[in-house]
Amino acid sequence: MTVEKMEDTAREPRPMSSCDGRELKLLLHAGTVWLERHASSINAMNVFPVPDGDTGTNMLLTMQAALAEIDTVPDDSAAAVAQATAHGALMGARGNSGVILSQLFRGLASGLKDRAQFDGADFAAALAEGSTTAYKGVIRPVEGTILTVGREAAEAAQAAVDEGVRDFLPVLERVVVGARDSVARTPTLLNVLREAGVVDAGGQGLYVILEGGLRYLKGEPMEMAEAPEPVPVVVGTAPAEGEMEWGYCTEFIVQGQSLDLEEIQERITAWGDSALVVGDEQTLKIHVHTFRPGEVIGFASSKGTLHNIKIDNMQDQHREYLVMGEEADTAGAGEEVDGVAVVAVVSGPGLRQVFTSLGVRAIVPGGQTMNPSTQELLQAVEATKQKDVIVLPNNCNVLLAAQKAKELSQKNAIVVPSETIPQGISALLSFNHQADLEKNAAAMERAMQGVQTAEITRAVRSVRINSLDVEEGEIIGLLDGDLTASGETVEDVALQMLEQMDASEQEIITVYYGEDVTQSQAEGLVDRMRQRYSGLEWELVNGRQPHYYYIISAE
Amino acid sequence: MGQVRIITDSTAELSPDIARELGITVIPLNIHVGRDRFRDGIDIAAQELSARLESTDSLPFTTAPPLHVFEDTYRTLGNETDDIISIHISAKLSRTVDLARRAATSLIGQRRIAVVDSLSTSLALRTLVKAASEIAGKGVSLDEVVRLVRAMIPHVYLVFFVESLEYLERGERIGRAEALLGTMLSIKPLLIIEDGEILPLEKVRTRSSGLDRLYEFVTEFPHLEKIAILKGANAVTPAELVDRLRLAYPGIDLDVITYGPVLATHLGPEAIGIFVYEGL
Repeated sequence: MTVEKMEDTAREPRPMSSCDGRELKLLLHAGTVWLERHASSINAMNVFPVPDGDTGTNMLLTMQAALAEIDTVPDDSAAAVAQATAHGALMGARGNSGVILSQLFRGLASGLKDRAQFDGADFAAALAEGSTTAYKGVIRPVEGTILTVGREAAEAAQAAVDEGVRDFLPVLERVVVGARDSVARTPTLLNVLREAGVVDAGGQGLYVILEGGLRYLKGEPMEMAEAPEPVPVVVGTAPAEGEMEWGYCTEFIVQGQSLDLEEIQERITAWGDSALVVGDEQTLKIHVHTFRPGEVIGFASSKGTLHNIKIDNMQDQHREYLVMGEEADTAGAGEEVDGVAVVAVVSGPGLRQVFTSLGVRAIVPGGQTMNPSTQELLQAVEATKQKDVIVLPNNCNVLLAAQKAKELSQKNAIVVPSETIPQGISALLSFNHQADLEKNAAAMERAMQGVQTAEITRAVRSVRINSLDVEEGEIIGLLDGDLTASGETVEDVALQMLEQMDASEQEIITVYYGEDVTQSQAEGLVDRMRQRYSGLEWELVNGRQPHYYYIISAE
Repeated sequence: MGQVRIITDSTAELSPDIARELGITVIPLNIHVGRDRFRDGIDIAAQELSARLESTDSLPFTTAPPLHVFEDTYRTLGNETDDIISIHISAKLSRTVDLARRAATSLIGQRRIAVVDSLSTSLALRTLVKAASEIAGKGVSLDEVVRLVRAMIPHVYLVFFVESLEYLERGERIGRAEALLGTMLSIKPLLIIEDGEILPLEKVRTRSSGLDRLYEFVTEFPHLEKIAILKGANAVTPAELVDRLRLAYPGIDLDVITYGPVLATHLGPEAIGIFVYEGL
């Protein structure tokens, strides 16, 4: 459903006593459209001005997944629509706010069970159940977040019902007002919000969805006063080449005389992801995920004869998987093998290579750019050959989605809650092929505590936090996820971070430099660091990660 | 019929004095450095080997003793006893035990020779050999000695912390530890000798966490009888680890032993290891 269509059918307001399946669908569509309009302003509310894990985008993608799911069910039953919403939102949930939103829907669906339509009182009860479910889904619920907004919205509904309001529309009106007021109060509950001068982004997202639904049902215009904001890029529909999601899996053998392995490797790597070139001067096996398989094949055919050419559209494979997911029971992952597989969320070709070289079988792209959905994580877990799987989210905003994927999986999965790339790497190093799932997970979680992480990026907006005044565009440093330094240059912030990490007390410092840093810049920085801290081991790795100039680990 | 006699190889790291005292025959492996060949423990000692490893770029390697050495030893000993147990370094680390088997086969019908693959080497092998010698001294049958040794094999452990992958890379028989070589970070692996193979256990990035893991490896055993620390000839004695283990296991003698040339060619001269025998 598009905005235009909805405006065509813009309805006359009527006193709506109950809501049926069709109306619930329209309400959710409208809420999503409204969220889309507000997504970038919600993104700007992230407490830390880092260029990733955007709440608005995450919630929007979660809602879009829910909409795709409800289009598959008939609209004569509100219960069925609510059920589909919950399922779609869960599978498509990205980021912690997306997962919590999906849990609100899950509770709501459970509250609306068996109802073809529902009135205001039913709605109030279902919202309360939604809130309860959402709280249960979080290990340490924090007030002043989307959880609070969901709960207070439900309380507003109950208050209306207690006053004798039974009809749906007036209850929804009270819910929207309750959500709005709750959002406004979030800075009083959460210090970081107050200090940063923002309201909670996830709470705001929930309010916007509810408000969008209400506006539509009341026949109010969906156009905003000012020009619409730019819509965030949606991964999966229009992947940017730099951060490829799906392309063609291209595989073949080249045979020739004195093939130049290095040259071919370099060219193939430049064409895409997951590049692999192995063999000798006569025979090379080549594998790459690329958007331009024709160019790869053309280049290779100039080097020798081609054999066993296989090109698969990975978008199709992805879709097929989504279809298969409906019949999860019959869609086995093929033959199972013994041992424990590791699935990790990583972005940046260099960092991916580090994880692969340490034995990770499945890499889910994202973390520092786009938070992967529950579905993507589940798919990666299910696709491993092993029955036992360890998941490394490597980002605190991927933790909940990873946890949901674990719960949905048919396999024995454990999430080792790594919140940074270096934590993930330390965890991975302690992985022991001989040990079982539980033992490995425990050892990995312990190993992960032994490393400190500094991340250096550019502030995407101005903020005052942790007694630091940060201007948009300034360089900022995060120590174990907390913004603790800012400065003019990347180098200055990097040196501040080393000091904060007590570098002189450490044994080894590893510097992963990002795609926006050249090797000579990185080497220059390490030279400066080395001069300041003698007696340490230094390691420089080309991580080619997006957005983050440097990720530095100290242990 | 005389008492069961024990034969092993030089990788058991028995000093000549102890071997003589216990009546154990030790067959030396050969060590090749550059163009030179040495008989382990006879022509070259650990300290000297590590000095040579440092000063050469060529790949050092070990070879099994020649077949005729086994045949001669079995025949000579066979003059004193009908029953021989020949316990050796893992077949996955050396061809020694294969040659021992061939030599024993050629003498079938003349002597009873049981060839046993220890599935390990160094202090693990030494522990098996000494236990065999002890029980043989009580005059038990060859079968009983073999049964004891086989029963002990799953209960001896050798774990090493290697600071450099250089020697693993140089060596030939690193088995599945090969997977360590492609990692993009400098890592210091812990290696275990299991089922005769050197296998990667886990990896760390700093010496202190490597030594911590060795300590934890020991403390995970609910019960143990023997512990020893092994070190390469050039390795600094890990004093803190020694102290921690002495404190944790006051009733157990804790020796620090320099491992021999065969392990040095696989692990280099700077590795630190732990030997554990958990008892039967």
